[in-house]
Amino acid sequence: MPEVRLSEVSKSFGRIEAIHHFDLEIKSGEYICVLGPTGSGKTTLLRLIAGLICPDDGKITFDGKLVNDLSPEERDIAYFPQQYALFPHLNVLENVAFGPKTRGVAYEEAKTQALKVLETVKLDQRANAFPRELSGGMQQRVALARALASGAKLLLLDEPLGALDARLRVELRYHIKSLVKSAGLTAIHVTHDQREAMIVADRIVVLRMGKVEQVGTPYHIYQSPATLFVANFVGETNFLEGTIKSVNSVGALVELQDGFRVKVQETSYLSGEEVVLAIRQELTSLMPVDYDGENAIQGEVKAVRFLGDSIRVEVILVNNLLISARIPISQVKIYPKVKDKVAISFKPADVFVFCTTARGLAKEIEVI
Amino acid sequence: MTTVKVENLTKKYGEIVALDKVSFEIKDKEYLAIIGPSGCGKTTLIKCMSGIQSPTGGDIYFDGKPVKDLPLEERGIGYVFQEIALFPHMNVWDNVTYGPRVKGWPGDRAAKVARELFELIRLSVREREYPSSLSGGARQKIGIARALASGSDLLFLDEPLGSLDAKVRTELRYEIQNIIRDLGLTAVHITHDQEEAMSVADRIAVMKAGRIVEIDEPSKLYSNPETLFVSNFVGEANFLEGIVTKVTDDTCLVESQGLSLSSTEKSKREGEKIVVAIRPDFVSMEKRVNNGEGFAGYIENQDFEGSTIRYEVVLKDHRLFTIRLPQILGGLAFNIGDEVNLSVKPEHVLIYPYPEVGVQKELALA
Amino acid sequence: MSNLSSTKNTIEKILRPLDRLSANPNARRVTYAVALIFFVSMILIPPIIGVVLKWNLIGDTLQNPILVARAESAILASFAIASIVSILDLIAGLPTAWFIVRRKAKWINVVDTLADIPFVIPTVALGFSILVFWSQPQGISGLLRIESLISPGLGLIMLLHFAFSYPIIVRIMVGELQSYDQVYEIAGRTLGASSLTAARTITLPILKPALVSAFLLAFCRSLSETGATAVVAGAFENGPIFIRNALSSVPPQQGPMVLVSLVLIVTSCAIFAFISILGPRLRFPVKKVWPNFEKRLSNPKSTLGRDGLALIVFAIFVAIPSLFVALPGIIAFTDGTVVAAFTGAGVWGVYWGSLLTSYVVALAATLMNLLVGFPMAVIITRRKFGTQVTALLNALISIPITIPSVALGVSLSLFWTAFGNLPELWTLILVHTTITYTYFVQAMAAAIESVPEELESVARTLGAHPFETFRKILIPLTKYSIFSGAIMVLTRSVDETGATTAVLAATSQIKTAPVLLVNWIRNPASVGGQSVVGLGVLFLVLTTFISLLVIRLVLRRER
Repeated sequence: MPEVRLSEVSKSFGRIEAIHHFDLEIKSGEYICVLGPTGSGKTTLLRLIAGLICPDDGKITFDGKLVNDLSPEERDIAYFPQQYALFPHLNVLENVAFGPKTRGVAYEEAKTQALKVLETVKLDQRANAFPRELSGGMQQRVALARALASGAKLLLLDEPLGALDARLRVELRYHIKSLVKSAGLTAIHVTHDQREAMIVADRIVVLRMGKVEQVGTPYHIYQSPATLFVANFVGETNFLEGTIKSVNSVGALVELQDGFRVKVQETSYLSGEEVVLAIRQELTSLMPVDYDGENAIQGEVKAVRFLGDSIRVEVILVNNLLISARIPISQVKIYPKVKDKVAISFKPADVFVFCTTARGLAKEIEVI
Repeated sequence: MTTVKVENLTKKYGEIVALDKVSFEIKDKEYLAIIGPSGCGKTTLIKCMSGIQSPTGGDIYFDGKPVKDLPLEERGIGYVFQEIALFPHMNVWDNVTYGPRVKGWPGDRAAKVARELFELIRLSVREREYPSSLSGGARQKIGIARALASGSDLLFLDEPLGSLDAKVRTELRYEIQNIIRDLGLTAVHITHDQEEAMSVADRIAVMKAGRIVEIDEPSKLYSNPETLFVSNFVGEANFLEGIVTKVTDDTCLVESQGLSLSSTEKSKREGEKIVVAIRPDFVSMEKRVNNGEGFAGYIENQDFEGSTIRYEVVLKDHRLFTIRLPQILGGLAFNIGDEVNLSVKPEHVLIYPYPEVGVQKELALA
Repeated sequence: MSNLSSTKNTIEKILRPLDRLSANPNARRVTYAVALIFFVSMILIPPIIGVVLKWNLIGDTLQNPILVARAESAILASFAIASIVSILDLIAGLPTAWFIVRRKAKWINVVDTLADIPFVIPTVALGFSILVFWSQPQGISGLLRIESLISPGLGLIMLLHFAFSYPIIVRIMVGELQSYDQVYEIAGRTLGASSLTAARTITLPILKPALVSAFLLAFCRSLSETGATAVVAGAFENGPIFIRNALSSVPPQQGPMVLVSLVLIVTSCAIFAFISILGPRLRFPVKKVWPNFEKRLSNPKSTLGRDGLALIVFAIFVAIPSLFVALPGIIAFTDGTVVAAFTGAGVWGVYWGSLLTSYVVALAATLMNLLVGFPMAVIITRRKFGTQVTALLNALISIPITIPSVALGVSLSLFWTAFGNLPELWTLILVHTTITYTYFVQAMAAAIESVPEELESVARTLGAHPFETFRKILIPLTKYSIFSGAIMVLTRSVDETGATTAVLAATSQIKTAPVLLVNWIRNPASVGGQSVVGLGVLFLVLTTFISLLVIRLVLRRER
């Protein structure tokens, strides 16, 4: 089972720097998700590892062996491209058997292997069908079977669930992970969907404009985002800008615009520093308007949105900022109404504090 | 002021029936979402309503006036495309003012409307920029401004967020809905994403095989759907097969492989074969201290989802049961291997007649 | 069955070493380099160098004011005809293409097929057909009881060029309209634009590149055409006819020939480059809209009127005149000429020989193209040498069809005589390879373009070497296109007259069928009358017709 290591890898297309000094170590048997918005360089990264393009700089090693100069067919990888790229002139069985056959397995033997893999994705009944005769979901499974049947131990998945309906996508997250794990493969999975990444990954790499923002377990990334971008891109987050007024041993007092003061449990800043506070929407609670506990700000309900497992209440605060609170559906007794007077509140321990940067908050969290 | 009425709308492609006598009404200023799996006919429906395709039969009324025989350009609608479809040879400004221009509005009126729309969509783009230089989200915002520019009160949104990234998709859906609400428009929104539909719509129509199977408010559709198919399509659920053992005035008891559950559903007869649906969000879980009755098991799997944690519990009869707990309600307090007791309130135990085609087939998403 | 699979296995075994060789990047580089070198040395350089070599011959001609004046008016006539005809074709062909793509009725297929007729008929035969229809007693003139409605000359040349350029425009625009994403036009209509407004302000501007290239192709074809033009020209001279006359005078007037060829080569390349660069900058007037007027023109009645007019123009100027090719041939069946033809008596011996020569040359040219054109198509579509080089190559491969073929022929034959001293037949094959190269490479490039590169990527990651990917993925997915491309090259070569005339001396023993037929048509009495000529033309039409039928069948199977 391969251990993959990328060190100082860079790749440019003309003037555009797609991947910039990228470092990553992937343990054998690990399921890595590369998460980032369109244009962040995810697909480029995958194609670099597959050997479909060459890095301008840096080293890529599999199990300690340098593979920079190896062509894709010599790397022993399985690649699952966006939109599947099933061979239209071959039927399902021949598509799946293509890998074993080119690697020199005898025709009959390759077919038997392919059938076995097709069984695991429940498509052995459609072995003789051509890709165009199958639904989108079935095509996705054929592509997966083709990748698995190749026998390669490193699986590269490019948005494997991206072309499916939302509901099906949720179902298949669990399926794809258990398939990969039970086959004992190392997987690198590229996606722009943070929820998908959280479910499937052992570790997540958050990528933005060709650079790594953060690497860590889903838990780590979610519970302690390293940058403003990650705090926004992963999860649903409220942002408030303010200035540190005073700091003591247990926390700091932050003054928001229009003079509101809130407490945070963060001591590493100096008085007078400008900061951005980030609070998860599910950790922002909705309170009666006369609530006078810690960090309470009054406001008016702007919209109430039903999300299934929770509701999202958007509140316009008295200082005109918009903040959302997310309440688990099992906790909703009465629906708040638009224009209701309410208060929002959050615990000092639940606030992430970030430095204000020269680029400004909006640019810092912008998803492009 | 715009209302919509659709009566027995039918569309056939040769032998294939894409729309099968669809009827419904949309109130003035209502936001209706239409959802369903691929191939359910939702796209055909919006294309027939807007006039892009002509239906085989049935009638469509806007504000009580029949529009079925009006050509597309004379229906006075706004349409937002999944493909976004900004005119690639025109800059952003010319795109937005295209509607007013082809309607022969004087230039200053068109310019005024366009200015207001640029303000409304809160997008800092230069007017001379071409669509190709914009990000997907920005392009679709221009697409919305273009659709609104000729002052239509009726907006069709055809998978408007389908081509965008997940994060942009959630942000933009709220922005679009706010614009629609603030301008007091009537909207029809097609999507395959049930969460998107629930979060923005006043009512949702769920389609399957060319028909509307259910049309209702989002919370009703999620908490108490009328059909087994909808219960699965609008969100995750655990399905258990069983039979009704006892019916009283306000509850009914069901049994599923030795597991006994009580439900507030009243329309069932004793002895009826049924399917129980329970949403993972409505189950509570606690660590088992005593021996544990019926609804007990051990945690086999734990998935961290961010604000929630998803658990897979193996019941005593080896069936797998999914539970979702919010982090703020102690969701992280359990570990794999823990012995647990589960409980569900009777109003969250949904009961449906056993489907003729079998549960698997009835629930199939693709 | 087992025999078949064992053959397959043997082939596999033979190809395996090649697969492994292809894994070596140097081996791939060599393959592409060979294709590039062939292109530069055999296709690109010779037509340009050839005339330049004989540069010194021009001097004398320039001293002769009468000759210069004649050459000047011939060249101007060429460009004037090409411009006018291409614009008229665009105006007449666009509504027809629109109508074929957008109207949904079974009988549209008939119009679609009829629009291809001038394609199916070799241009010499088309010239003959137009001649018969417009200016001979069997045609419309007979119906009107006058001797000749339009006698050979400028008018008839225009009618001929209009007819053979028409299907080029229709074919290109039908293809473009089919692949055009109609969502833009629908978006325009949801915003209140009538269908005419939407077409004018959205669809046509988006399809501008296709309109420009359709115009250019029609323009180049008109500039280039020689054989059929010679048939209908009478005493009129345009560029190619001037060269043809210079060639056939005894002794050949080399000076004027080189002069006009050089001017044609330089000017046509310049115009091609000019339009290619200027075309994308051309702006359609999309801002101005006349809502009510355009709405009235969009209503069903106006649309019906427009479609009707387009169809009438098509019928009178293209379809019916083209169909007259069969008439004199049919007469030949009644007067016993057929028997003479099949016994090979008299002139028929020469005829069958020329037909054989035509096909031998065409087959050889096709094979050459398959060998060296295919790698070139791969280089272009897969951008093997980067985006900029690809754009340059794309422009350069158009040169052989940009230059009028007779000028190309003159230049090539000067080049090959000077350097190779090759036998005439070999020169002819090389010339035909050059003439058809562009068509072949462009057809193959389009076929390869239609195969997503991702398919090859996946195959590579599954363990297939580059050559293995090529033969297991690319070839199976493009085999029908390759085959039909090859047949297209074959028919194009059989059809060719301009460059062939330039290569074969008037006294040469070798003749191709169309060259022979031009002489027959111009002087029917020399071979025994109109029915002999008609039958000769008909046989040529039949052979091409069969080839094109094969393409249709093959392409149908692909779907």
